[in-house]
Amino acid sequence: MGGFFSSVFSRLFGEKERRILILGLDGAGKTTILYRLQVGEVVSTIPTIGFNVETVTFKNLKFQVWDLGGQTSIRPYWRCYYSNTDAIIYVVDSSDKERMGISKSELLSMLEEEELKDAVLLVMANKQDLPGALSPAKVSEALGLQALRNRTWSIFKTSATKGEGLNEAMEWLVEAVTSK
Amino acid sequence: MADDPNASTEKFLLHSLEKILAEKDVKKSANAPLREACQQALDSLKNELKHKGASTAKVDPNRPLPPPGASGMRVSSEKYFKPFKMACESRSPKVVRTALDSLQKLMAYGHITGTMYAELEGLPDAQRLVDSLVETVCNCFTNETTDEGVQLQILKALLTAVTSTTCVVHERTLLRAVRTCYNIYLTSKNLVNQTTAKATLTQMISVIFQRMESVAQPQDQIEEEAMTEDAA
Ligand SMILES: Nc1nc2c(ncn2[C@@H]2O[C@H](COP(=O)(O)OP(=O)(O)OP(=O)(O)O)[C@@H](O)[C@H]2O)c(=O)[nH]1
Ligand SMILES: [Mg+2]
Ligand SMILES: [Mg+2]
Ligand SMILES: [Mg+2]
Ligand SMILES: [Mg+2]
Repeated sequence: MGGFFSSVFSRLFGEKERRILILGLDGAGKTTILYRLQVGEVVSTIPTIGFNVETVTFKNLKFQVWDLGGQTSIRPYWRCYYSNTDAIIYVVDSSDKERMGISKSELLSMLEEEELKDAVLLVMANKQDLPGALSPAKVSEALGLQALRNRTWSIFKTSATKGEGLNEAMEWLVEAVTSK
Repeated sequence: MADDPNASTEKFLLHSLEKILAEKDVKKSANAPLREACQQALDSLKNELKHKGASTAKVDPNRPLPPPGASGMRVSSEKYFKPFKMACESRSPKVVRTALDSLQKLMAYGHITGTMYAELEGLPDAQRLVDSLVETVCNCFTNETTDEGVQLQILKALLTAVTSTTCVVHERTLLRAVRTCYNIYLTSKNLVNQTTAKATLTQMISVIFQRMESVAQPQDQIEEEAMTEDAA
């Protein structure tokens, strides 16, 4: 009953779509994650130069999910998309140990932006299926997440290609975004 | 899906056309010509795929497919793109959005290249397919009353067209693309579209400058050489 009325209500008054940005270094698995969330499958990807945007419904919540390119030359455009963002999904290739430092500095400079001060942060320690992948605890340490202040954040281990860990991560995100 | 990489363009077109045909609004009588054009292109594509011995098994049209192999479809293919143009010209925003999304993916995945021509091959003034398609994309924006989802798909497609290295757009088409983004930025009542238009313009302009500089570099050297020759 309540569900029926609330769904009619949200249809009448237009439930606002939440805005999510998926960011992270090139090759981390952002586009793979976007389409995993949208069509539930692994798609062939190419390096993203512009943007992908899809509507994803999770637990009755509608998200407009933006996936931007992570190559060095296009990272400067991330900031153009920050305004009105409810959550950031920051994707890390957990097996890319050499670039953890770069990933950390990109993350920290992003979090300094005024426009993102209220955005929830979900870190996906992706590619857990690869041998030598760092554990979420190690990734968290490498990114300096413990030092974050005034930020709702969490980290989850995922494998976008195997489809593991994404649901748990998204459940946390729904909870974090709705209780904001 | 992995059976014949050379047929990936045909397959992508096939599934994109099926996606347009699946839109409820396509069944409206006003869209009968569009329906027919889709059907004709589908039949012809299926034939070609049969010739190539590739399967026509259903693939989720949301799935971007791998780029074409070396012997991928490179010939003039106006007949295949006509339904997309017609879909863009339809009055149904959902149909337009689906067509724009497919065109963007075709460009992003390198299925539309700068060497494909809109008219029959060998025609003297044949317009390049990419120019013709970018024009089609730009025409989807009329004014601030254009559907907001359509506006977003236009921006996405134009950013891909302008930043693509496989189907570089020049001159008139490039200006048209920039102007369309600018118009959306100025007139859109949707905050997300305004933000996106600004982002799109920022990236486009910087790519255009990078290309200009990389072209200007040798030019300067040529001039310098010419000057030293004159002096000698
Ligand atoms: N083994 C493994 N490979 C993955 C995983 N997620 C993504 N990949 C692969 O990593 C490669 C890059 O994935 P993308 O999703 O294109 O990466 P991206 O972050 O979008 O990259 P950019 O668009 O360049 O920023 C692809 O070959 C994916 O199949 C994963 O969880 N495990
Ligand atoms: Mg990475
Ligand atoms: Mg990508
Ligand atoms: Mg789409
Ligand atoms: Mg990373």
